[in-house]
Amino acid sequence: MTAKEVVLVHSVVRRLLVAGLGVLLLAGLAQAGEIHVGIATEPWDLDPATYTDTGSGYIIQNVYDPLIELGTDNEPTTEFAVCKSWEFSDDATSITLHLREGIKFHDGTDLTAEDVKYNFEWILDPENDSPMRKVVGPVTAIDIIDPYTLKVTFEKPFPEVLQYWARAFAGIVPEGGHGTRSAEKGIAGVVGTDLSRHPVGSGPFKFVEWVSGSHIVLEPFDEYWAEGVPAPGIDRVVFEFIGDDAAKMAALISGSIHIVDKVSFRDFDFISRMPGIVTKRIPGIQEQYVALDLGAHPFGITAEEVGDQQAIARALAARKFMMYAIDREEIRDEIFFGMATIMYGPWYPDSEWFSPKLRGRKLHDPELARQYLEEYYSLGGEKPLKFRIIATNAQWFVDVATLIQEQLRQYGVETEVIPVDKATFFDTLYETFDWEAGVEDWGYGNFSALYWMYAGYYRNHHNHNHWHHAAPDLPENYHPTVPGHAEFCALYDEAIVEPDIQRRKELTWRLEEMLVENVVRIDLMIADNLHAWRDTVVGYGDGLNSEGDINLRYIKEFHG
Amino acid sequence: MGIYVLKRVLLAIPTLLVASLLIFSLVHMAPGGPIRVMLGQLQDPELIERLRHQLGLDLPLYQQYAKWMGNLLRGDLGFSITVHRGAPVAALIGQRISVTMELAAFSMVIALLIAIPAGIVSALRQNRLSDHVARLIALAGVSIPNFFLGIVLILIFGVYLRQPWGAGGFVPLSRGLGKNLAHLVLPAIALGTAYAAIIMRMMRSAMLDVMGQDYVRTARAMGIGWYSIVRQDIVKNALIPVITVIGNSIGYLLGGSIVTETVFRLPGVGNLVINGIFRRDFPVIQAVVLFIVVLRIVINLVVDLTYGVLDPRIRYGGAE
Repeated sequence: MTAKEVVLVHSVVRRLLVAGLGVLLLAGLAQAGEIHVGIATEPWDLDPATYTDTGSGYIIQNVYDPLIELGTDNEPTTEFAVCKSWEFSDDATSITLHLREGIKFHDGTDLTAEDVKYNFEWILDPENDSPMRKVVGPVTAIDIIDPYTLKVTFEKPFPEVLQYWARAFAGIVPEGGHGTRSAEKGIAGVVGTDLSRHPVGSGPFKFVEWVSGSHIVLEPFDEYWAEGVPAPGIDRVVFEFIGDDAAKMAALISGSIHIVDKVSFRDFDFISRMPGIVTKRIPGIQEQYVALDLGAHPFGITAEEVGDQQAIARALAARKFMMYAIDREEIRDEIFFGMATIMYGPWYPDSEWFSPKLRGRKLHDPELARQYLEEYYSLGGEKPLKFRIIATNAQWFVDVATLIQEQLRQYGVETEVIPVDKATFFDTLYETFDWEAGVEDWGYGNFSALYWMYAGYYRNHHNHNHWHHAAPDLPENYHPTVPGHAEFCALYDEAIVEPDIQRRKELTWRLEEMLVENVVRIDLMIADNLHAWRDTVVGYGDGLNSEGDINLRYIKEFHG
Repeated sequence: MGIYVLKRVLLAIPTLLVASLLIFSLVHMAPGGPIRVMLGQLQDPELIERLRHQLGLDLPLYQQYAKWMGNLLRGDLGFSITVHRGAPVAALIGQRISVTMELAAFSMVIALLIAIPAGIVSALRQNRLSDHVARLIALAGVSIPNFFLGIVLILIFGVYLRQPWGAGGFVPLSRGLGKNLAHLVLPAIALGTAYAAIIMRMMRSAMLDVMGQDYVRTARAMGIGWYSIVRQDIVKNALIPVITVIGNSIGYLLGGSIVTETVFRLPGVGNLVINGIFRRDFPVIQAVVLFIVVLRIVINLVVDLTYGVLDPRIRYGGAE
């Protein structure tokens, strides 16, 4: 290069460096008092009566107050709830709610029984398309006793109601808050309500702005009723949407994010050793499962085989083979790095609502697995046993499916793992018989074992396992692959109205045992919730529960 | 010129029609729909049917397409269903296009800052060390996928150097130019380097081509200074084919931004369409993809018209 060229290049490079340095120095200046929270998915609806996703739940939790709250032990509590106490009638056909006085909405109005009544009525009106309608329960009347007391009456005893309402009323909105319907606006079920994009609640933080694809900003509500909430030092809260795990962890380490919604199993150990970062591992609510198609071979029967006892026995043998062939401990250790609780049936193993008969049973038994596989073949099953496993191509599902594939290979069973996106996965499971096994998870967002007996297995056309299936070519509205389904539904109907807790538990245990006896689904484990936050956010960890909430009420101090 | 532009605009109509048909068919052929995504774990068959009807998803496909096209012609792109519930798709695109444009422009500036000088130096010093180094860097630039480079940059600046701007994210211009640009530097480098390599190679070969022309030899024989010839004749003439590549690159930059915006979590149009695909937000996917098609048609037209400005010998419209 000539001297002239060298001088030219040096001059350009020098200017670029100076300009770049200036830019970077400006960018490095942190905004004091601003908490940044990294969440994996962007919320899409901030109305507590119409939202269904986790991302929206994070915002809703801080902008609204719930009617009833679940504590860190997953039991109903009132610490930050609108309801300060309640009384059931003796037969559990009604409940009287006593509301906290002195709660104000962000629009300046007082929260009273009229507002709570409006919340009930809006959700229960089928024209409003609230997905919470069926979670509210068989309500027949809502009577206001005084401005801070109301009585809710049920069609039949409903002793589980508090667990249901903790989900159904995640946020109480002011009377008229959802807005009015109109043909131009479209129905709430499609385009949401006035609160979907501009939430108004009574929570510790007010909504400021939502920049689509980027972030949501909240700021403290000065008239919040609870002492010391929000914590001093917080001027703004910015929820940033960071879909990529690596980018989220990098942001936490760099200090540009103070709290993350979750940490991956792979990163947890590494993140825990980073200076300035606090981590916590608590039992979660996400159950990992293998769904089996009970409406197709090899785990179910076809419409033509209804009533064919040999076909029914053959399918059951194939399902039992799966139950004993899968080594859950290996999955827990390899995929979840030991951070998961193995399940012995369809509910938390350490819960008193889980059948003692099932707890601790032998899960992985190669000898028994071989016996059931032989039985499957002897009953006319195709040899070798072959099937597809569909798995969502996100998080760890494909890894779990691949490990199961490896485990089954030792029995001579041939499987094909098919990764699909989540929408395709659920569409295939709910709408077709064109699958055999599927690996996914679901969250127990409601801590009532009976609720999940209903949501997952009752005669309601939408469960994951095709115990029944609303296929038009079937004579019944469910697939009678498992002969005990009618009995199961009858038992559930009995359990849900049973006011005596011990009796209700026993009925729930029997329902769980029926599911395991028939291997309606393979329950694997519940993955732990892994949390991480900067040590400048003091007290945040006290509010963490199994649901993986981001409850900023628990922050005591912030040194941003 | 006017007739030429009119012809191009008329030609764009069937292109857009075919594109809209393809987009609509692909979106509706893919398994899964927005309603299952909307309802999450609260699937209710009654509600599913009701929502399906309200969204018109129970109509035959040709009717759904006609309805969509009818709305499009009236300028109504519809509402988002599962990305940002109830928000008009046009508003979402409007909100995000500035981010994508800013990223594309910044990436293009970086690409040009690297490519043009490197291409010139490489051509002027053909087969010497600086030429070999520049070509090697160009090869690496083309070969390394921008998502990979993006992750490496995040690892270096975000994780090891712990710079707040190094871990991705976006700061709008309203909160300061410095912060805004700082957060765009790494994504622009990740996106721009691949195009820098392509443009650099084109610049080098165009330069070599022009340097071999008779008029360059004549100018040298007339005793005009070499740097003056390079500046006045060689670079200017070599830029004409490069402009085509730059024009095409703008289109690719818009496509490449889909990946880069995801890695660096920038709230651009690319990020919007990815979110739309994962959540099966039909109105969002259809509108954004069609919007990108329109943008590419416009960019191609602008690039073609630029030729005439750079080289007055180029005329449009057949007989002319």
